[in-house]
Amino acid sequence: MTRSRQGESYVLTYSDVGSFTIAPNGDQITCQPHPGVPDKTVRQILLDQVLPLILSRQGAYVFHGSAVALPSGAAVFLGKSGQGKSTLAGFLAREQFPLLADDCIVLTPQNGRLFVQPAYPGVRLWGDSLQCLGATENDHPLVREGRTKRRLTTPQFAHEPVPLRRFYFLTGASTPDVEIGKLEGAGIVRQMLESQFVLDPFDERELKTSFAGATAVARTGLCYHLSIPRDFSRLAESAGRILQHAATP
Amino acid sequence: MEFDPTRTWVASSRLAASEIGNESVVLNLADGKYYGLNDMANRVWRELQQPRSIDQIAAALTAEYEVAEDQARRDVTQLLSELHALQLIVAVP
Repeated sequence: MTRSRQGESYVLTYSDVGSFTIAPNGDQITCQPHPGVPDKTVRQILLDQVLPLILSRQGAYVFHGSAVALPSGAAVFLGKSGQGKSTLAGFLAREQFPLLADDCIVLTPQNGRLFVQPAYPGVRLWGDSLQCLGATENDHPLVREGRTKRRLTTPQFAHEPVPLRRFYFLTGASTPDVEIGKLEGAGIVRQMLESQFVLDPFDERELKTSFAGATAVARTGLCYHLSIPRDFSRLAESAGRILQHAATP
Repeated sequence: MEFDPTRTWVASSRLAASEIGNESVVLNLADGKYYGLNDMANRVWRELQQPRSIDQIAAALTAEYEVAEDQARRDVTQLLSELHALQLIVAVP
């Protein structure tokens, strides 16, 4: 995806899909798909990539991650692509804990707390993750033509905002056992800023919002690093440890 | 503009900053770069929320930490020079 400006508007161009032109305040999107691009592909880009950037433009705190509603509150998983965010969220959703979001996390401050907003009931997974969740790869649609991830619909879905309970930063390291440790200090803000959706990184207003979101999360004292064994057969053990950890004060 | 240690300095208005624990995180809105200030640098940053000379900041540090005034002045001069290079502080006219 490339970003450019057309007057005051923003233009997001996807070489294999088309372009999305966004009004300066984000209240209007004009989509110009290439001929023959299926509507479902346009819808997926709009939902997973364009709307998160517009929400950021409009002042929301928007992070790249996955979230589920646990009995103790919302657990959010952040980390780089391929580190297991969606797999963990999909596994927990299969275990009857409602999914909140996969890919785009929107946090809303309310009465001194942060709430995770529900997005839509689906996670995006690669074939091996689908199989470990007991799903047959070909039963689930590709997220986008020409890509390898597929969308798994999750019957368990949270329809209301859920108060934030834990923010887990997946380290990507494969450890022999589940390791969870508290994150403190300014370093969290750097990680939060790097996990955010921002339409215009040169716009002071949007930068301030992004910074306010990152520091709001850092101040909660609910941020932890998480390393899990990179072994699908031990996913239940990792999920159990997370449940236990999220339930502790 | 070169750093002038005889001037009075204050935090730039084109920043977003937040204190988390004993550290401050500062985002320079001009270039989108962010910085962490800990320990004594954070204490100096608090002073710079109001216009301050190097002597004023050094005096505040010596009153609070076990540090000789000369050493404090050298440390503050070095730090302010770096903050100035990063465009995080500006000289008061």
